[in-house]
Amino acid sequence: NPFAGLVSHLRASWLSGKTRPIEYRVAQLEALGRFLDDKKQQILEATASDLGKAPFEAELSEILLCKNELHETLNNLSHWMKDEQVDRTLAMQLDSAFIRKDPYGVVLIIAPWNYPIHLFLVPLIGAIAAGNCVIVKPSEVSKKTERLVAEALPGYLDKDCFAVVTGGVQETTKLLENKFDYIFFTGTPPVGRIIMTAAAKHLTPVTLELGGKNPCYVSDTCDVTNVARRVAWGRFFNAGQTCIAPDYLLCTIEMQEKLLPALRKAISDFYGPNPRESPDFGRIVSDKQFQRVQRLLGSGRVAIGGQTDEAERYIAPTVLVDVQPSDPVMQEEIFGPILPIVIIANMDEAIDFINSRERPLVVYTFSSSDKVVKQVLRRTSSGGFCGNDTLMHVTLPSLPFGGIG
Amino acid sequence: MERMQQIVGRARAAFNSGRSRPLEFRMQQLKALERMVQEKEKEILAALKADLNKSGPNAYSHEILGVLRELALTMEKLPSWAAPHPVKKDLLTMRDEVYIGYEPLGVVLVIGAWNYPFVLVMQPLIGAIAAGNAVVVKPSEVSENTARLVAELLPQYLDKDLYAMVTGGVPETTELLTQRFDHILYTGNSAVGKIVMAAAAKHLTPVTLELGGKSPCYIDKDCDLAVACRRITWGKYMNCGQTCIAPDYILCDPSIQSKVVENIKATLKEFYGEDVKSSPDYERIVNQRHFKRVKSLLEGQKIAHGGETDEASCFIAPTILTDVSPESKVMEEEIFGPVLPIVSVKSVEEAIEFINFREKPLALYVFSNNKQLIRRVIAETSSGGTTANDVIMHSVVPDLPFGGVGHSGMGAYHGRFSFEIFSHRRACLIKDLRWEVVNKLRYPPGSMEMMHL
Repeated sequence: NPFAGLVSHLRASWLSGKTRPIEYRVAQLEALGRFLDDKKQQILEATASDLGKAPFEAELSEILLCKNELHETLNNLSHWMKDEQVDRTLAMQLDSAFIRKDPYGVVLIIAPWNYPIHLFLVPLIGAIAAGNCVIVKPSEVSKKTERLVAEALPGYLDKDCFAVVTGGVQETTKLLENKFDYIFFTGTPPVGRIIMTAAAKHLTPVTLELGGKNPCYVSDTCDVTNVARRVAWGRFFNAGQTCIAPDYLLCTIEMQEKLLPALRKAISDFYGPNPRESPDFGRIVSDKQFQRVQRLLGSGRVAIGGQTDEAERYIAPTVLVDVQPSDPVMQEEIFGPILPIVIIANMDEAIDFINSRERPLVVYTFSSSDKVVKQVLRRTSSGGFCGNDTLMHVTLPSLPFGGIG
Repeated sequence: MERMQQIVGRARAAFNSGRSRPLEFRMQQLKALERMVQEKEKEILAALKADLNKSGPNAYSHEILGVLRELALTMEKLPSWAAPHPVKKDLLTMRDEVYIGYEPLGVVLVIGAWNYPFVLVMQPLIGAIAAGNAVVVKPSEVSENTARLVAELLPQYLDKDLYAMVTGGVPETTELLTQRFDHILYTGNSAVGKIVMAAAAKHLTPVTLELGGKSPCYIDKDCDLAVACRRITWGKYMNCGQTCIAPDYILCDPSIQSKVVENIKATLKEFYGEDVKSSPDYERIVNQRHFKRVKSLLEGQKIAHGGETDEASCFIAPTILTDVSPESKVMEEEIFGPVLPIVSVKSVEEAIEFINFREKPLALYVFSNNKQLIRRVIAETSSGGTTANDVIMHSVVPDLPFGGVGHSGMGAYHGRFSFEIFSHRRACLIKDLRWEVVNKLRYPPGSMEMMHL
């Protein structure tokens, strides 16, 4: 196995105990901070090249949010590392009982292409903070970023304990034959199954950050202008290639009539009359993904947008109406700048619709009635929930981020 | 196939009805479980005696007491465990509601083991009910009397649709594992653990695997040998060695080996008398297959004490092996029997290296008067759990999580950890539709002011 040597080298380093002292972990984390500072320009360029990512967006998602995570971790690490004393029974009053947080050993982080720095760096911060050795496998789809990470990152970290492995499906399969002590995967559910099956052979625990179709219910009582802006922002950020983007909208026909002009205005405010010329609107990452998303434009009827340009992998911010639950756009996670609207008669129908499908990564609800928001929250199940906004729940380091089902 | 589909389907429909969610309902079910344990104590003890020759006092303290304590703790703490947990807010979320909500996962599968057949289905069941789930319970068919009893009793006390029993062996379990669950908690061995996880992977079902391994026990030269050996004897030979966290083997300096043997022998006499076989407190190996397996581990070994066996009654005497080679069969697999090998090491460094060379164990034990040494062993090794200067006891502290790492398992439960493992922690952010001006900086067209915030 081409990676067996690397894995056992890292495991030997872990067994040597060098990653355990807090000073070591802090030094590696601070080096990550320097990587973000030194390479900021290259990161913005690589992600712009790979995804047409607007520098404005990349600053936020790839740099700022990562630095927040670093600061949060550095500020709290000594507290997090402390043994947790627990209550003792009467018979044990003379003893000491505590929970010790041990590193697992060698951790594998597999990252996707849509937020190619953020989605390996944030897990890496956690893995280093916990005292592990790590192999990072960035996505081969975001090619320029992959090359940047493979060339630049190892120079900042201890080469005995941290490595970057590049490659596609074949290399990843070979990599997974090795025994890891933890695997952190971000990607699609089908690949998630493959990862977990491979992990089962070694009894390796996994964290799987997958996806799904995130519903966005808009009730009849709400501030339409603000709703439209927040939904448009969340949907069209990174040209829709966001696991927590609102995937589809549920509302009444009356609300749809109000929302359409408001969405049109929000899009125009954000990206100008021709989004293709806006420096702030992204592109689809690859030809394969472009063709997949383009096919979904055939569902329902285009009410806003719909323009595409294959050479640029550009798909305009689009809203579809007259969409049926059985349409192709409602069968898979869109992962593109298309927002289908599905008509329901009322909140109960919206809740039933959501519950008849796989549990999503996030449920969104917009309403000026707190009761409505709380009801949808209570009667549905999802990784996370955000009322009256999109995306924002993942910006708080104090909230856990993950899915269910 | 259809039977399994029906049972799981019924549990899922019952869960979807929402009736397992209100706290009052969960408390009611937990109270009913408590009544069951109290009212049917005699029957439970009889089943344990039939399956493992467990004596009344042993069975009560190992299985029933723990369950009653867990029930009492869970009923007391459930309201606080289940309440939303507010978390730290930042500048942009100052005005919002930000918290973690604890929600049920759905339909949970609990697969029990035969060595502590009652507590190993009951304790997970308690946690799963407390977290608001529907539960399918599959007790081990090897401890058939307990399995039959639990299958009879549960439907008499609990909601029949929400909490279902499935009995059977490998074919039934394999079939059951093709169904979709929202969490599977399995107690057993690593080989089957891999099968369970692979089956769960098809449905992306999270798993808690309580497995096993060889739990090492290091005895330092600087320690009260009489006390140490007494405690080790207790933990090793309880349930005839069939305990996942029993000290599997001893590591010590060759100079104290014979003293260790003497002390254990003396304790054995004290616990079980001259004729172990006739002691009501000494259990039996669960069946012929395991009897043969454990007996074969004695081949070629230096027996310092014990070694007597009787196939008809699955009796194996408390046995000590000395000068055991690390390469021998008895040092390869988890013994799960009343055979205690002693392996020589010349120093604590050698002991640590020996331990780290092998798979991470479920439990690790170290006996020493030297606190520094104890701290060092804990810091330089990894295991599911650890007790220093005693054995087993870390598993009975209600606030400590119980679980393995590496080949000894993943995930942990007991007490509030059960509640957490069977819950989904949902991140919740509730904002207001007003105060839109705050959002202005994040919207395109791009602005540098946002960056400097």
